[in-house]
Amino acid sequence: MNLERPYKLAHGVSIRPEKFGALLYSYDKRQLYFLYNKALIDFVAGLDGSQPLDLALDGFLVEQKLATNNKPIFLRALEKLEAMEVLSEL
Amino acid sequence: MSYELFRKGLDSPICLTWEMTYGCNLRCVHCLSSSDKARPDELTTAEAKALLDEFAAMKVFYINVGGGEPMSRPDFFELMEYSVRRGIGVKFSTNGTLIDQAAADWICRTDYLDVQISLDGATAEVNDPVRGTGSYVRARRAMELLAERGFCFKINVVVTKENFGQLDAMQAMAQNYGAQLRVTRLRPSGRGKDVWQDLHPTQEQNRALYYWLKARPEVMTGDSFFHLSALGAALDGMNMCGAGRIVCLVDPVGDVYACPFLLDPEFKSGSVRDPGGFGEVWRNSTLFTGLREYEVGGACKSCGSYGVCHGGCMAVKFFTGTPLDYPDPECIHLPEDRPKKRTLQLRKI
Repeated sequence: MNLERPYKLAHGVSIRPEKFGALLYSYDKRQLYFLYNKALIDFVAGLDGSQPLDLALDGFLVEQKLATNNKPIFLRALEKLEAMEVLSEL
Repeated sequence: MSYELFRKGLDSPICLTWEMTYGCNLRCVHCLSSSDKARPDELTTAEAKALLDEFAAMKVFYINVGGGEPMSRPDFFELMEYSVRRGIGVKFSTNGTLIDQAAADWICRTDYLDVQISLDGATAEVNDPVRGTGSYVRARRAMELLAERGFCFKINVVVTKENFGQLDAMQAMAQNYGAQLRVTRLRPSGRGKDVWQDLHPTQEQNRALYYWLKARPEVMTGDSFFHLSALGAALDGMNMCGAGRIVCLVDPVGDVYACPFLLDPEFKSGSVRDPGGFGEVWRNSTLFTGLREYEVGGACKSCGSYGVCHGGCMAVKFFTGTPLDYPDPECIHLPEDRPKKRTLQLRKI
């Protein structure tokens, strides 16, 4: 994962909020994923590729009044999403 | 974990089945919807498009399209293209008889379109008594047309007592075509009610099927054998009855049912033609909200396998006259060797 680069939901991936969190569907892989962490979902759904991931995440943590020690947790989750090809670098 | 989250229902279905027409050129003995002739009051093209608009607004990711034979609707191609354009993937189920060169070309060039061709035996001798004389040859012809074009389709087999011994041959057939095998459970719904007793797999076959599937994770099941998960580690899938919670059925005239195997007035929750449309039925119908509060109780609750099968398939119980609180008629445990539920032992340290 390159923090200096902007990321967004991969092409052909759709996200839908649900009571428990969100469902993600990859049209290309015909694969369904479940996300349970609401803050992570908000962050991922809000990624528009307009700024580097590092900046976007810092801004999000401030905006959501989340402590900076949440950052490594977010990054681990984002790396997983990238490995699953749900997130992609622009 | 997912069971607890999903049994209360989702804001929209993950996927739903839309049976486009009751018209079919075959008369399979186990047809879930007793399909025969198209009904004059089936959804019009405009109504069908409005329904797809509503699915798109609810972010339904994909629809399972069936019938009847969906390809027998004159607007089939138009509606499928409309669906894909609205961001709803299509998985359609066909008997293959209407796939000609032009249809095969269309299938190959349309994005987000999956096709499954039904075949209930590796030979005409086993398939044709169920699906009709000549149906084997016609389905194989469709498969060849798609395989020639390098298209990865699915072969869907409804597992019966008669074809159980041909599962390996069916898988070899799929592999030779570069296709995927999908096996599903015979349900006593529609005309299936009349043949279920004769055709459903024996308990011994069902037990063997569990291990056969476990050894072949590449074979798809549409989550239809979750009652067999009671034998050990859960099979792939959600392993729960999704009726009215994560799935549902819209029939050709727009009536909404809890699941594709529960086409009975008792499990009808409304119509897409009612005020409020499909969304209102999904969110607020008495039947669906009731199902989201329902759990199988009875003997199942004290069984050690309850955590993986949750009491089995409601449709199979309903159409065999089994009370819904009883174990699935194909429960793989005999009452006397149903495993005891383990209770948490507290120890003083």
